[in-house]
Order: sequence, then structure tokens, then C-alpha cells
Amino acid sequence: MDVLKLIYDSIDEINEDLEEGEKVEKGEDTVIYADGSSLDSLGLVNLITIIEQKLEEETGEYITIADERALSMESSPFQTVKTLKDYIEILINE
Amino acid sequence: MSKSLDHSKVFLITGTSRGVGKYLAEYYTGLGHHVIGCSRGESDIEAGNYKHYKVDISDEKNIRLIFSHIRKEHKTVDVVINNAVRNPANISSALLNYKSIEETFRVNLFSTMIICREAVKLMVRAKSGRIINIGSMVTKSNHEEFGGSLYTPSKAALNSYSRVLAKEVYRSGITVNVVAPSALETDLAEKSDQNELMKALSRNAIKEFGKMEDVSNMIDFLIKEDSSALTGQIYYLGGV
Repeated sequence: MDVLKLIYDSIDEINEDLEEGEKVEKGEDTVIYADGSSLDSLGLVNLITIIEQKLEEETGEYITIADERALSMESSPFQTVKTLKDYIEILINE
Repeated sequence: MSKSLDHSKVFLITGTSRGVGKYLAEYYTGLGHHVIGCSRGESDIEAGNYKHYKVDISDEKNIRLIFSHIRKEHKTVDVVINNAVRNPANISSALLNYKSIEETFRVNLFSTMIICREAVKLMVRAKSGRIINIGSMVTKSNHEEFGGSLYTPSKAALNSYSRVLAKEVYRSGITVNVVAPSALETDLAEKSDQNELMKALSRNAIKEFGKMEDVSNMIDFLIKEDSSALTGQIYYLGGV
């Protein structure tokens, strides 16, 4: 599965609702949820929800991305597109 | 709000095999809404627009199952009514055991938090939604009952949680409120210490048992599109 494409498709969806200047750039270094990010907490919820639903469509299984491990990690997997991609790949390969 | 809440809606109501939950499920299916209900027991609601899950919602896996159905069949959920409750027999705080504390909070609080988490994910995308958590008059000052050291704090925590959630999600068109009836003639009330219950009712402006219709009237008001600015409140019924 191409997780990066799945994340980019999800970003496209949330960008439909964002104004110019607020849109999330598609790039592995894009900051998703940290200082300097364009998403607030509800924006992050929205993005995660879309990704979880796309994962469910592809795998047939519902995977909770914001699980206990994600919330307890010293370095949040929600910081950038790359950290999120890496974390999702861990989840789907388990 | 991007979507009207005044037409046919998708409801999720927990604890629908009896009492208030059953009444609300029948009431809203009767109005033509799609209602997804759940309880540990069977349901005898036969409406075609009602779907029942016989599950224990204190298990997170079962909540995920219900939301998987909602995502596939309805895409979103418009109204969530967290009504399922565990009301253990009144017992002195000095005799509480850990398992009873844990089970009470799993049903009365933890499951509600997980259901709200999943509902909010869908409602944020829809930019609209109504969450109603069913509270209790026992959380009002001076309505604490002797021996209510499990049920009362679980409902008080539900109030606090609802107010926090309301602040977090308001910008997405979602409101969160607690509807707290006084006492209704349900199995739950029958199980309560009758002396303590009558003492609590005697402190209210209305000293008789409340009606199921009082609850649905309040919920009808809160889920209207025009009620979009009413959030983070605890609505006590029965003159509490």
C-alpha cells in the first residue's frame, strides 16, 4: 500500500475546506501538528479520520491511528507527513 | 451549519433495551429517523428504521463495530444519546471493591468518552452534530444519596467531560449537553434506595416522578438546528 499517496489524498480532501493560505502542503517535511502547522486540533482530528477511513477501505480493517502508543511516544507521530507515514506503516505491518 | 438537523437524521442511542433508552429509540424511529441502538440485552423494537446491537459497550471493540456500521451504512451520525448506565446497589463507601468501581466507570463514563471520540470524528467531517449525555439529578448539590458513591461521581465526571468536549468541538458545529432528569419510573429508579430517592425528590420543585416525554422534549429542543449556540450545559429536569 502506498501510504504516502493515501496521506496526500487525505490532505487534498481537507484542503477543500480550507482557505488559501491555510491549505496544507503536500510534502514529506510538511508540519502537520506542531509549532508552525496550519492545522489546529480539530483539523488534525479531521485529517486522521479521513486517513483511518481510507485505510479501512483499503485493508477492510479499522485501524486507530491515535492509539495509546502514539499518544505516549516521546516524539509525536503527528508532527510531519513523514513521521505520520512511518507510524502508519508500523501499524499496518503489525 | 452545512447540514440541516431538522430533517431525517441518524441517531445512535445506547441502552435501548428498556427504560429511557427504549422510549427514545421508539420515539425517534416513530418520527422517521434512523436509529442505531445497543444494549447488553435483546431489543423488542421492531421498526424497520431501527438497528440493534446486542453488545457490551464497556468493551471498546464493540463500539468500533457499531461505528464501522455507521460509516458504511450512513456515512455519519447526526445525534448521539449516551444513555446506557450502570447503577449498582447503594453501598457504604467503606465497603466498595475495585471491580465495582471499575465496572461502573467503564459503562457510565469510559464508554461515553469512546463513543464521543468516534462520533466527533464523523461529526467534524460533517461540520454538524449533537451529543446528548444523560446525566442525573444526583450531581446537583445537596442531591447526593447515601450510598451513591459509585453512581454519583461517575455522573459528575460525565458532566465535567461534557463541558470540556463542548469547548473543544463547538467550532465544528457540534454541541454537547447533559440532560439530567430527576427520577423517572424506570427499572433504574426501582433499584434505587426508595427512601433516599423520595428524599431527593422532596427537594425538587416537582416532587413527583418525571415523565419520559420531559426527556424527549428537552432533547428535541437541543437537537434543533436553531439550538446551535446551546452547548456545554447541564439541563436539570423536574425542578431540581
